[in-house]
Amino acid sequence: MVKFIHAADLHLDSPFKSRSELPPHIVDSLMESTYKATKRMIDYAIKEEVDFVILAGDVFDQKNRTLKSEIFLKEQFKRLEKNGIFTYMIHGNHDPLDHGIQTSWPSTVHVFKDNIETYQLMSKNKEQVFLHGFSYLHDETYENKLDQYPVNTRNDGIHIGILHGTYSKSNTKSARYTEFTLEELRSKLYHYWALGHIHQRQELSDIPLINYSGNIQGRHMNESGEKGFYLVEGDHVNLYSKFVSVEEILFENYELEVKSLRRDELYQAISEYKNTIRKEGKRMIELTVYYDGDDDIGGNDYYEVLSLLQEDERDVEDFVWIDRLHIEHENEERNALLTDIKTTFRGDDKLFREALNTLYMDPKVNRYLPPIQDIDKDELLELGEERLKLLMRK
Amino acid sequence: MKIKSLDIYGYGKIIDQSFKIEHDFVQIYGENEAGKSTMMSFIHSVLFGFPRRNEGEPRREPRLGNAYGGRLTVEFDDETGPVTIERIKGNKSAGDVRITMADGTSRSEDWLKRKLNYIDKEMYRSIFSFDVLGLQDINKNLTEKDLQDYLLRAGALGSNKYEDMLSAINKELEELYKRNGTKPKINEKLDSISDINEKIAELEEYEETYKSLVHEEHKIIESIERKKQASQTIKEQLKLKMKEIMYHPEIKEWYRLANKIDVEPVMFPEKGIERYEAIKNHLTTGEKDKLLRQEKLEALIREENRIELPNEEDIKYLERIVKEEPNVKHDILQLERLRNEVRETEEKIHQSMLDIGWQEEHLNVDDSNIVRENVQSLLSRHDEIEMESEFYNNEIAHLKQEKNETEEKLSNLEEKQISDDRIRAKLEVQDLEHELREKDRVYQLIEERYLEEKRNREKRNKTQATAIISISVVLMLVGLSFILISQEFIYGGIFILVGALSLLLLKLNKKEDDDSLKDDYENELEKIKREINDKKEAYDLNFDYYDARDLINEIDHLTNKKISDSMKLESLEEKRSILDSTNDQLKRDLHRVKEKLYVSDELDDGQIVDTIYTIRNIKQMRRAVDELKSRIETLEQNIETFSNSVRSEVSKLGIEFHINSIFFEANRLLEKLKKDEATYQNLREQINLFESEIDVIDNRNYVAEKEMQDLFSYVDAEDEDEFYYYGRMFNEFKANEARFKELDNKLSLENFDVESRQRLSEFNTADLRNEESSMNAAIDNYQSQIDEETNTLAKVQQEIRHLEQNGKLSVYRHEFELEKNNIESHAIDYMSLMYIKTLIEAHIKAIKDQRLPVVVEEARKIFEYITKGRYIDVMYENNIIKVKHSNGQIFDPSEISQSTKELLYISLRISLIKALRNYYNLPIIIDDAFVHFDESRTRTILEYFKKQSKEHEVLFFTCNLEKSIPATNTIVLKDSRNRR
Repeated sequence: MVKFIHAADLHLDSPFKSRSELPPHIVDSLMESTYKATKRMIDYAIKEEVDFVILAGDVFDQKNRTLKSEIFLKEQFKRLEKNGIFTYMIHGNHDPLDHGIQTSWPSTVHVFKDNIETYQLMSKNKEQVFLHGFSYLHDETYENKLDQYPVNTRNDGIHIGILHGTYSKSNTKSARYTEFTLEELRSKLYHYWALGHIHQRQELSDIPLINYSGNIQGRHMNESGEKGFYLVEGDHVNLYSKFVSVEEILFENYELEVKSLRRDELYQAISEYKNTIRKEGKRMIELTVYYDGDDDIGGNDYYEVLSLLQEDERDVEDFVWIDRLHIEHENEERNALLTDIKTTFRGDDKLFREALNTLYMDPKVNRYLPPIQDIDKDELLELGEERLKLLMRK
Repeated sequence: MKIKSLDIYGYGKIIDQSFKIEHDFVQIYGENEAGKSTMMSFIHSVLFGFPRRNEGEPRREPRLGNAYGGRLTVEFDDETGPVTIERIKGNKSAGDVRITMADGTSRSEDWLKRKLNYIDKEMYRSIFSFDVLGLQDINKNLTEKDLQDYLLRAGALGSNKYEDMLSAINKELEELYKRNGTKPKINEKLDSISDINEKIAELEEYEETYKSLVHEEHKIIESIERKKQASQTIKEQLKLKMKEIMYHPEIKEWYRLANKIDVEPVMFPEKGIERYEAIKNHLTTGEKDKLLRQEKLEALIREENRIELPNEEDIKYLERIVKEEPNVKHDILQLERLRNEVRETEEKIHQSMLDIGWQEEHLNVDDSNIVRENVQSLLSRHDEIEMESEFYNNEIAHLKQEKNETEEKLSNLEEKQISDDRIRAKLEVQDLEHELREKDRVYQLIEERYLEEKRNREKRNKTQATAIISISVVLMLVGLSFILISQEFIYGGIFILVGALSLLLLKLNKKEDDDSLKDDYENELEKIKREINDKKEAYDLNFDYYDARDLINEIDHLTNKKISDSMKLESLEEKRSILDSTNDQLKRDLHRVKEKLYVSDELDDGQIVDTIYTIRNIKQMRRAVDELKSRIETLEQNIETFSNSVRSEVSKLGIEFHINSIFFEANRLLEKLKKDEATYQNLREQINLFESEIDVIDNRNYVAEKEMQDLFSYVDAEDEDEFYYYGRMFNEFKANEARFKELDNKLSLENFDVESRQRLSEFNTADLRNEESSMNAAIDNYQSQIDEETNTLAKVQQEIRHLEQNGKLSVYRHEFELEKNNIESHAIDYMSLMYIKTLIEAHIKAIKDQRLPVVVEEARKIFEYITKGRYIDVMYENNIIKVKHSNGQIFDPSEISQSTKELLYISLRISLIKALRNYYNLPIIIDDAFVHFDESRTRTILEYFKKQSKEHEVLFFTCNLEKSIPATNTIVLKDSRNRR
């Protein structure tokens, strides 16, 4: 019997993404959320008296590596140490080894070096456990070290592989570090693979268990849903994993049908809806409102409703912050001119570039912009159309 | 597309009407309110949907519940038969549309949209509708640039919607970002984000120091640890050194003693000196004691010889005499006392004889108790009679006085007595006065009642009188009026008469009331009063009736009393005379008794008994005196015998006898003898004691001297000095040995082994002290270094703590990311709008570039035609339109006349319609656009429209029937109200 926690991508103190201007208390709450989630996990580990905790990379966030996060983690590791719980930790692309850490960990924390290493430990029930893994030395240069994971030839104990990498079939666009296939992992004959890097929780395989635990706290609307870690339990014959959510703030997409787009009625309907989901805790939401009727909403009204809804969340403990509000209008009038224009010029990339260049050619601005190739022409056009529609309806 | 017929089910005021359009150019005439606008709206609605509520255009739903909507029958160039488009009210506000082809098949709404090439209502209007407003706009837009734009738009786009979009976009873009601005949102954010960036850079630099600080911390801690250890080692050594210094003198001493003790030990008897000295002392005191005792012994022997031992017989004799002393003394005293007693008793006898008046003693007088009791009974009888007679005397005197007083009172009262007549008269008067009071009270009650009744009666009379007077006055007035007005004297007279009569009756009725009752009572009262006065005058009635009655009774009582007192007095006087005779008899008996007792007759009777007692006393005393005299004699004899026996004996001892001093002398001699004896005995005892003591001392001294010799011989000493020398030597040795042992113990307890002791004894203390101070210096040096480093460590640790707890960097990074997000979000907004703008501008440019030349070319022909050749060319060059007059002059549009401008505008519009023919082919709708043109010009324009109506159907709505258009081409709209 062995019992352990598999977590990854804590991204402690990671900055958040939001399209709206957030009030201070929500910013504070966001800032604290990765810490709170991690603390809950440690509480859980202590309560459940697990044997050890695996952190499969990206414990820290490249964009905000601070002493604060290290000191915090050190404190948490100390709590584990006090309760006789070991920690096995690899570094990922966001917190490579060469960046180092400024503080030092307690003796119960084992950090894998940049070459494959194996740690051996005896669980509380006297079961042999072997943990194999490696850390990223640098962020930008890496080599696929899968071949170096030893194959489990012995027939005793539980073997666990720890890996920060990209599943070959995943659709992650950027940073496809250490791509692997399930066959490659299975060939190692391990009992469990603790994966990190992809923030969406996934169970890639049942036998053996190959899990992405996902990150522990969502950081923007694209990281929606419950976040947490896996509690893994069992022996060398059978291992079971159970997901435990610990996120402090839930990012989620919601849909709502409304009967009217009149400013006050729309506000009322959304307010009521917010209150129905509020009791479940803090939320950052993207709300799509469906409407099938003749009313239309102008830009002024739209922004007023949105700002009213946001204003209502000021100083509310369990906030439901509407980060984006889409209004899907069944009977919307088409702008014939724009349709005409779009069909004529959509293919013209020169015009697209020209439009982007207005900002990308300004060195003061472009440093804060995403890479120019990340901007999707169709999305931009759609957004522009939506904005224009609102403007014209003022 | 051409509209062939309209079937309106219900739209605005037009209900259930059909219009056939059989020509390509149709004039639709109607007066104001006839429904021209409704009809135009109907066409738009069927083609593009009913107006939506928020469009600002009336929906024109029929009021009376008729079906809303209608049907258009149209022809498309590329369709074989007519197509009907029916639009009625449906779920959507735009209404439900049904499209039926000539072959009966139906098509979807999308088909229609596609067929109309996605043109919308707005755009259709802006291209295909001509109205007064559009023309007027030309005149409003005065500047050359605006005019150019307007004309270009008319020619190229037919709509200003692009302009609207662009201006909205531009406005928004400006709010978002300007390349060198500060106000727009993105620019603002850029400023704040660069602030944050600076702070982050600072903090990052600061946090960089953490690692080096931690390193430093470790270094310092290690260094401190090292120094502490070194310091600790030295401290331990120092401790050792201090111990060495502390024990150094002792070590040295130990070493010296060790050497000393090594030579042979000294022998000496146990406690030799003390013992010797004790013996010596003992000897000295022994000698002294012996001498002292011998001296005393000699003195005692001398004394003993001086004292003489007295004779034992003498002492015994003297003791016998002394023993007799109390007896003899007692006898002498007794003798004296008895003589005194005899003398006193003789005196008393003499006195008693004087008391009873005796001249000599009559010892034979009978003084027995019989005599005494007889006297006593006589005396008591006498006393009783005396007391009784006294009582009667008192009674008699009292009665006499009382009798006199009674008589005096009686005579006083008899003077005051009043006669019976007067008393009777007084009683009568009292009865009368009582009657008078009663009557008076009754009279007053009656009078009150009478007065009240009288008042009531008067009041009643007064009202009656008033009524009667008024009636009679009225009657008389009626009468008078009859007389004065009607001249009817008879009636008048009757009335007056009746009035006067009633007045008269009233007067008569008012008769006097009499007061007779009152007078009767008054008379009666008066009578009684008179009677009373008569009585008072007849008798003197000035007294109280009851007092007079009391006086009479008193007199009767006193008279009775006087009589009884006189009788009592007589009986008392009789009893007193009997008593007096008994008394005389008694007095005689007493006198006889006195004679028998030899006492004088003058002796008071009461003293007789006492006298008898006195006589008895005298007899007794005489007997006592006789007895005392015999005792005195015996005593005198005893004393004489004693004196004779002692006198001769004492004279032998040298004492002269005298009865009074003999005992004193004997006593004194006895004591002296006894004392001498005791002294002698005492001395003898002392002498014996001293002699035995001297023997003991001699014995002891001998033993001591023997012992002393033993001591001396132990150490082989010649004399005392030598002995003492050996004693000292021995003591010193013993002390050294003890000290050595002590030191040895102490030092081994402190872990000094013999070797180190020997080593240390070679040093001197100053060397050790030097070493110690150098060690101390080293420790101090380490300590100060440690202190310094601890300070530094504290600072470093504080810095580390500060860094660890400082979450600011994280906060700023978050802020930075949020700001960055914000910028990104605004930037995306900006770029999206910019992209739309770019597209629109590209579109406009394309239209201008591709379409304008064609449009201008076509417009030239139209313009020349409708100006009837006055202008021959429209030119477009470098985005500027110009016109050429037939005289060759070229004008800017702003330079030409207003109406010509309008013509130019219309030309461009028509030209655009022509140019767009391949995109949109729809009917042209003219809404009284030419009202302010003159007739010929209107005709020319209409002529032109008619000419080209083969290509584009023209619906000309007007309220001024144009005569030049044939009636077949004219539909006349009637005001629906008039029609009904």
